[in-house]
Amino acid sequence: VCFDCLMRIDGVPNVQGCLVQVCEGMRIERQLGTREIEP
Amino acid sequence: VNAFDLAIVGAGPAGMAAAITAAEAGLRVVVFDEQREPGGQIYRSIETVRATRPAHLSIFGDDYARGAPLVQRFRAASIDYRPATQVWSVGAEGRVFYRAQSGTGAIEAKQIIIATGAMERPFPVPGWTLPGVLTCGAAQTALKSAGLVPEGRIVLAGSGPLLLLLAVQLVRAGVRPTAILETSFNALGALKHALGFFSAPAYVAKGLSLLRERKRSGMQIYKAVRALEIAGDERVRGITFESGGVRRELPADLVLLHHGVVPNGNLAWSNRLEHVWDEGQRCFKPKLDRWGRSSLERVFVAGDSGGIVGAIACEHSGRLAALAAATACGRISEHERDRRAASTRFQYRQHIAARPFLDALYRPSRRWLAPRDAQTIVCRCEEVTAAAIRKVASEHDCPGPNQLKAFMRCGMGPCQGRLCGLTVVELLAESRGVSPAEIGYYRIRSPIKPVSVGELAELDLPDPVN
Repeated sequence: VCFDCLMRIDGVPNVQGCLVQVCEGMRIERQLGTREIEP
Repeated sequence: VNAFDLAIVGAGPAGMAAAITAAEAGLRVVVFDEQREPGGQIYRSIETVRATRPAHLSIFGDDYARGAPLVQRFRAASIDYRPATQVWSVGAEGRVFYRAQSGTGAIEAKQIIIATGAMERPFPVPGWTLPGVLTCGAAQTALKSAGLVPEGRIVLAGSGPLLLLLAVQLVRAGVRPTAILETSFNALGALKHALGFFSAPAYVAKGLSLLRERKRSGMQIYKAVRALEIAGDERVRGITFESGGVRRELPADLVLLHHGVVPNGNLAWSNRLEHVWDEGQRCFKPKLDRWGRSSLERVFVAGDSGGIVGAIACEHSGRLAALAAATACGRISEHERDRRAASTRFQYRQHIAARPFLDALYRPSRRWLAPRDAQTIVCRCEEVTAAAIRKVASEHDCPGPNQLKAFMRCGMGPCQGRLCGLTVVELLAESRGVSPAEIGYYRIRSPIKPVSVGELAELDLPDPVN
């Protein structure tokens, strides 16, 4: 519910990390600061 | 569009029980749930735990294990179950919009049961946004879904049954928290509700057994804790507080906060369901009839999302809503509905009898609900402090949470007010000297989950069916 866990998973930004199960080869990047919309 | 008799949002105890009952009554049922397997928060990952790490069942205890047969019956029933799927809008015309890995979509249903469960009450204190600070529920989620046991020096703070349960579960999992900081334990205030509580013997025995287990573990307990502050720069370093008139400081690597649970209400709010303020539980809940039917004819709310009742009562309320939905769909007569509901309703009442005592015993006091410390962040998404909200409330005569948005974007971030809503209501109520009932809540609009423009574009929108 908190959306504090937004991260970039396999290139997709603003994903709720808490709802995704980690799997082999997944690319996970932290998002620091305000979320952004890509052009 | 796929058409169903009944769409249920949430596969916790209320949603599962409702689905089973409705399927038995011959309804075409679809169940949407965010998680990858059924169970809700309380029975989270129970299938995986039983299949891959059964030894952990002893950590979670009987109240967790009792979810297994329910999940089995849910799996066996004739239900269109959609796991890992988020519902982002429910329309008054009975259309349910969802998104999943496979894309976005919509279905239509004659009746809808919202069973979105509970969430933890926000617990805003200085430092609660630091890495290393979680809620007790989050720690329990990690334990259930992935068998993750925390390391380092752990401090639990707050009040409520879940805090006690988690402390004991951590001990069973092999880690002993350094201390529990008890913020609210209002035995005197709860006394007048004792009769109801002691008429539900299972809850008394359970509570006492947990308290004994906690005592045996030798965990340090600080009572009547005040002025809690979590310290740290990059992450949590320690926690300071007052207890027994003494200022104390404890080093900590992990702080787990908890102040009870409240309805997870954004879906209900987004449908403009009429709500009432529950003074005992200190939160809003949808106004429901004895079947769980909301102010919208075809929308029911079952389980904790309709007001906190606890897992077993949730099942019963799910069954009641499903029976009423079956009657509304013309599958069973009113007489048959009442006949099937009788024992369920009796058991439901027995279980909720224990509630007022627990609510009063663990109710956080005003200083926790409306933080006094100026710098405490209330809206985490937009980083709005308690002081800023109080200032706008008094200087600009801000009447409610929706006007507050215009002043400071409070509640307008990605969590859509879930983590600041109740605190904002409490702050405004205090500052204006009125009841939260008069303040009201944020106007929540769908989509209640983030949806990309691309997803909206791929949505094959049917013409409305009347």
